[in-house]
Amino acid sequence: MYGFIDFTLLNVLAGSTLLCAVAALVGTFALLRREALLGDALAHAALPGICLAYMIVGDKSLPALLAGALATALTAAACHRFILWASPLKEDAALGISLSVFYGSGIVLLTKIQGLGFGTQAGLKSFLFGSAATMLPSDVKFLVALALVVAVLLGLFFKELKLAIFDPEFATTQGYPVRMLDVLLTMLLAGVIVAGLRIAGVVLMVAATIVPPAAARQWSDRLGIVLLLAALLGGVSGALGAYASAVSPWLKTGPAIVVVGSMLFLLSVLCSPRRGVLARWLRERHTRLRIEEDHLLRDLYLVCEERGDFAAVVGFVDLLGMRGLTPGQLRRVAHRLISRGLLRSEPDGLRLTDRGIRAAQRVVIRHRLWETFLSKQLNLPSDHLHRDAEEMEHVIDDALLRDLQEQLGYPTTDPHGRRIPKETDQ
Amino acid sequence: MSQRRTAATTAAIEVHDLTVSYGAKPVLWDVDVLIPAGQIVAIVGPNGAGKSTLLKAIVGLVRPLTGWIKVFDAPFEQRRAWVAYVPQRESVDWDFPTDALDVVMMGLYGQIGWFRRPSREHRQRALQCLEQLGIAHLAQRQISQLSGGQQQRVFLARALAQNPKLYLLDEPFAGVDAATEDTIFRILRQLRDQGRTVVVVHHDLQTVADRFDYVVLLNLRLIAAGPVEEAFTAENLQRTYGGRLTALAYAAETLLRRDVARESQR
Amino acid sequence: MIVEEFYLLLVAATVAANCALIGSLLLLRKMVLLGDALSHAMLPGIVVAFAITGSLESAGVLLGASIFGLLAVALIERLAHTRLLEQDAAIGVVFTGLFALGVLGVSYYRSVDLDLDCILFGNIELTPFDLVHWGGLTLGPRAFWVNAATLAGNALLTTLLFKELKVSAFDPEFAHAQGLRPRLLHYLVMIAAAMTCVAAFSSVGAILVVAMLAVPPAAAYLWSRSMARMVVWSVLLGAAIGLVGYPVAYAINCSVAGAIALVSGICLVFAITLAPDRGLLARWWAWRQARLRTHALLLLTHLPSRPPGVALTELRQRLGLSERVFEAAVRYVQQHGLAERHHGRLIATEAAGRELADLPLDPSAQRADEREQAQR
Repeated sequence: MYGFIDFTLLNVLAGSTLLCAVAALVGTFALLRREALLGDALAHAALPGICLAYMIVGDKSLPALLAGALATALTAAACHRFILWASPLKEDAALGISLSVFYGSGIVLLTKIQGLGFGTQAGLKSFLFGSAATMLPSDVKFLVALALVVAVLLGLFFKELKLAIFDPEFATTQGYPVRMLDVLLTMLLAGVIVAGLRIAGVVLMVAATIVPPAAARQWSDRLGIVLLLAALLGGVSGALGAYASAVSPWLKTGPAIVVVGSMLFLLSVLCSPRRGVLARWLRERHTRLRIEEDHLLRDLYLVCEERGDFAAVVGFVDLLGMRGLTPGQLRRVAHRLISRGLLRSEPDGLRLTDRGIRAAQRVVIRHRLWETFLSKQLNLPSDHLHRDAEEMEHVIDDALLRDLQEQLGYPTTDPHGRRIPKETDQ
Repeated sequence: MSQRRTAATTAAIEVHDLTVSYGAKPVLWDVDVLIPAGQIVAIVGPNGAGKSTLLKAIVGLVRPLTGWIKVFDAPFEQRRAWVAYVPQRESVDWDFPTDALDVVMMGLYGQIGWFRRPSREHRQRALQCLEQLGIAHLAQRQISQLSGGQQQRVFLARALAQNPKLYLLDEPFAGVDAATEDTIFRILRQLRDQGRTVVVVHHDLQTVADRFDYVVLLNLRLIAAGPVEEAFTAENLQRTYGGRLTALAYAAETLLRRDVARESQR
Repeated sequence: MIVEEFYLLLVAATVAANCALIGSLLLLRKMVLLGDALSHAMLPGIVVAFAITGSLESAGVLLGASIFGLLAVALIERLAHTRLLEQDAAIGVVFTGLFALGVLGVSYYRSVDLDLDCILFGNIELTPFDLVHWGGLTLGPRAFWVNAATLAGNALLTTLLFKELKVSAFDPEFAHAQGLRPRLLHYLVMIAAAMTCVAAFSSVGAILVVAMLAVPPAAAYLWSRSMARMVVWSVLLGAAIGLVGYPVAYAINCSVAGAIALVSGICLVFAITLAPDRGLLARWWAWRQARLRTHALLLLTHLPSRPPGVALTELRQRLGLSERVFEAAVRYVQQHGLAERHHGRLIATEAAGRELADLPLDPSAQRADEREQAQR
């Protein structure tokens, strides 16, 4: 008994994982072609084909229904292309039209089937909503075959497809059959969607082709990696979704998969290291803190420089006056610098430690060097230098510093006549 | 040459410390320029030098990272009615269901105000503007059926309809036939002689010397600006198109890559 | 029965006109698929409302759906704004995610009989039986009033802000420079679309909404030369399709929504082939005429204007045209008085000289505007 349940679960798990991974693969290409929603139209356009096949064949034989679905889905894709070619209508309108008209005719056929007494059409409708829980071993075998075909085709034509998507005109001049590649991609997309409909349903199949690729796109800019990641994320959402629905029965497999996929997408958008929302926020915060710290260090340095004593204790009131900081802000910045050992807190103010002096020098060097660069190389008037240098002092790295010094001939004073310190100075 | 006004007293546009970036890519770097009123001004520079961005920043289409811009001594928002902006021709969908006259009338929408509809006089005005450009006979024509030159004329007619003091034209001569270019320049000169200011983003260096009064040379930062005779020199051109900007460009990218802060705050 | 049929027609026409109106605004903004997305994205709103009120007929359902419609709009805009993905992908991600949540909600409440089919396909056939009563009077189907109200709102929005909507769809940068707030208008259109979808979708189902959002505006777009005409034609065509749909459905005995979608598809085929200016036939004909004229002008350049002219066979060999094309060109120049035939030989007329002067063959003969006209 337990063995049987495990076996069913294993079927569902394997099937969902495979299906979602394959859908993510073909979906990635659709996403990069900026046709993410083509799958939506294809999935809806399967309905009339299913009905027609049923009316012609007379029973719900799987191959016939699949063939019918594929046929009308591809017809819809052809209609979409035709509308784009034959009229000034744009992508979105063409998709909306093929989607609604094909689906509408499917509904007409569905009601005809009912009316003509072909028997129940319930089985046909489940084709559209999907029922992954009833996945059979034969389905899994079919999906394995499908995955193999898709993977082999995409692998074989990888570089051609990449070129055809990125720059179709160049690809044409190079003699690649761009149109055939386009047809190939559309056929693969239609094939995978139609194959998955019965298992995942229309909307959920659309999600499987859009969501994992959109998530994977956040992590990499290289097609190969995006593809692998999309397949991986798709597979993971398929497996997790199927597992979740096996654990709690009211969670239907298809929607559960999509919800897992959406969560992975959200995670990607938030957490991707370079483009992610969170990463941006952290970088922004880090920069802000760095700038505050650098400014305080430089302010201290300037006061000390004026007094000719870098070990001097600078009063809080002097520091507050320099940038209009509030006492709270000053305390927070100073606290961070103290904890990093760059400042020491004295009863009547702050003092730079040795390390602090070196850190402050770094900032001052960069500030004054940049002012010199702007003034000498770009001929900017002297009243423009400070504000710009105020920003640049935080971001000039060692390479750029050396480059600047070399270009400027290792200057010792800035345009305002102040000394540019050396890193080793005390 | 004799018609050219010498040293205009007022500045049409005052750009101060302007820095703009698209994402992490710096487009304009600390640009500081005065554009005098009553002249035909060319903004010249290589591709990606930030010419169009400067115009967009003037009309508030891109937000600067730093700096400010004044138009006739006031922020753009207060001078909207004085400014006509002519975007690049490719920036709109020419399949849009409308005719040439209607596009020209759009130039009056700002003056007509919210909710109100254009009147007969507005139609008349728009027609006159089309006439000035010699395409009144195309008034009822669907815009997708106009040639490139005619589309550009429609855009200029729309700017004329606004009756502004300042014209900002973004690459008006791209993909345009010689006849249209002549017509447009003729009209620009008329406008200048009426005391209007015309700023043109331009890419054809051949025509700068005899068709413009004032030139702004731009490549990421301001290279030079001044009357054509003074600023449009071989040396400045060399600095614009071949000058050594590597350190600045590198610095700019470093800065903006790390400093996405203010960009995303906006 | 007659009354019910009348009600059904009324609802179909109102819904179709309403969707067609907002659809034309969406089409000009290239956002037709937003309708499809919205009709799916509001499912969780319906489920939540059902969970709270326990019925599908309450105003709470409308409210819940609107909230989730607006949420979807906001999410899509937000996602597209980060530039992390294209707008269509953002639409796809948002609506499938929300829909999946909705389906899970439905299966959670399965015990309370929330029929997914009924929500998804709506049921225009049932609308005549859901009537509004007021003080003993029957005021017609509720769906009619809901959709008529949103139609009124949309019509008001479109008439009051027509020129602003037009310029912000055509040239948003220019609109912005003129102080016409294109972003605000964009949001207004999206919100109106969300409200329209809620109203239409809850009474007639998703598929009809998408069909009416996409097809009548597309047909009107092909057919009209101005946006005002496009909007009016779109609304009229939408209403007409709505009215025709029911008799068709009755005749072939199928669902009304399906029949309406089918009829609209047929309308679109007509529009694409027959539309003036932008239709396939019109463009093919214009192309043929242009080619014929080019051949004729080419022929004229080889034609002497003095007797004895040139023999036709010789001319044809010189031009290297096929017989059929050559004969058409000869007919063309004769019909337009550009050449005359004397004893089997062709001589150019004075008119031909003028015609050729307009061509950019000789730089001295160029005059700007005439040249442009000749190019057209």
